Amino acid sequence: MRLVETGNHVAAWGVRLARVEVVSAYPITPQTQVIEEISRFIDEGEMQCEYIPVESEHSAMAALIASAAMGVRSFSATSAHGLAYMHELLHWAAGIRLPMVMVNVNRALGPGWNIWCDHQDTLAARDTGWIQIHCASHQEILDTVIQAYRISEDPKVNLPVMVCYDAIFLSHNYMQVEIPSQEDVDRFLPPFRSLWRLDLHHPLTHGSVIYPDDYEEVRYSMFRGMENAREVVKAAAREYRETVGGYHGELVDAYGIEDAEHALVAMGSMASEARVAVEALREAGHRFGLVRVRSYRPFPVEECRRLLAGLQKVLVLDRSISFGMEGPLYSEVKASLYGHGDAVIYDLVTGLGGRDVTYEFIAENAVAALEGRLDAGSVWPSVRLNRHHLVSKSGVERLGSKGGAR
Amino acid sequence: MPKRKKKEAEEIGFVTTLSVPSEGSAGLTGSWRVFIPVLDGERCNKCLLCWIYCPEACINKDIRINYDYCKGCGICAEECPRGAISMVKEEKKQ
Repeated sequence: MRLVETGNHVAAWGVRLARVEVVSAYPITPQTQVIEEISRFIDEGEMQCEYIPVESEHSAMAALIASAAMGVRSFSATSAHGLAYMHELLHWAAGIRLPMVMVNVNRALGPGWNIWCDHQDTLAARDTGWIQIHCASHQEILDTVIQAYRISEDPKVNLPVMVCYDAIFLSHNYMQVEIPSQEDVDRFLPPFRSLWRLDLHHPLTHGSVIYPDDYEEVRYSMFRGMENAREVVKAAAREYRETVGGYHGELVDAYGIEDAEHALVAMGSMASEARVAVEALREAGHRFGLVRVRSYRPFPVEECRRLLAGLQKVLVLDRSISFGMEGPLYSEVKASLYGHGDAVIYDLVTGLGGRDVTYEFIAENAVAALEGRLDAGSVWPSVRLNRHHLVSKSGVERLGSKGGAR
Repeated sequence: MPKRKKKEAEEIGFVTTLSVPSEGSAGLTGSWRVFIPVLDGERCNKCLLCWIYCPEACINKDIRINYDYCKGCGICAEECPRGAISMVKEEKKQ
């Protein structure tokens, strides 16, 4: 079946096809359409699923931890401040090794209320023990939600998975998608067989007190689970292609990299724009390729080495910033390439808060890097003052040196 | 550059924080006690409120108190409607 739908509604279709049995979520723009559509599916009898309305994202994740601990396939969706609010519970879900899937629609964090695209929210949740897969198209959202359950429930992994996609660009724009048949999805995704379930007759608990003599092994086991996820993410992508159809890369999605001398590295919808930039750059005689990081955790270290180490210039695009350091994706790419090859690595911090990043802009900066006009390290080439900034500046100036608080 | 051999952690398999109810994983918590509950069998009518309220499941249905794990919280004495349990300052045994 072919549909023209928003990325959010497409995510709901993925949840429906994965036969999710418990959904717990709290509405937040730009994610709300996901859970609205799921509610509609449940109301119309299309999904056999319990929807738990909660009073906050913190509670949403708490309820989801409980349902996953019962051995039930569980789903939630959130965005930005919602993800920040459930941050502690993210550690709990991963720390007690519960398989579950959550969509995070990548949105900027306030202050300065902004509902548009930005990767700061998920990248700030980097070290919670969640697998993070970033999507670049509507079809990929649907296919990844289904794959995410296979990855999360694999006994070698047993970690929660966050499926991330960009606010507005993917969440609200309409694109055509192919909805696979339930039979094909069922062949790819068997029913969830939990390693444990809460049971009155065989009582157990998760995450009670743990002494210095025991804790480190638990974290090491999580670390190994995340390492195991590398192969499981790849296998899920390949098996999905065979069983259901649809393929969007594995840990990375490479484009035009085989004969490339230089490369762009990006995530999410900005990587789709970078793909157009690669074509434009090639037309102008510059042999660029693209590495789209699909799995941010586990990070594609080997793939970066294999695809980028022999190149001359690598331009990373970051849609978030680690204050006091640089773009996070830039840090990770550099760390992966340390001691491998001698590519000069540049970083554009751009597109924050939904600012449009065009292929022309990317190509211009790529050429600047080639011609030695771009500084190494994180640069912010799209920053400029506009009339709104001048309003706030004049407000500060009006207070003068006396200060407004007196 | 000399290649350093990476020291791998021991293969420990899947380790989680899962626990199952088991006796005494925190040691004999009775040693924390300052006051000890003492039952007066004459006054007790076996209503079992103490059995219900004991937060550590240290009183069984025969109203026998497990002093290895009873921390001496005194909830049983507080809840007993017949005043059959009294909390007595315990001499510390070495």
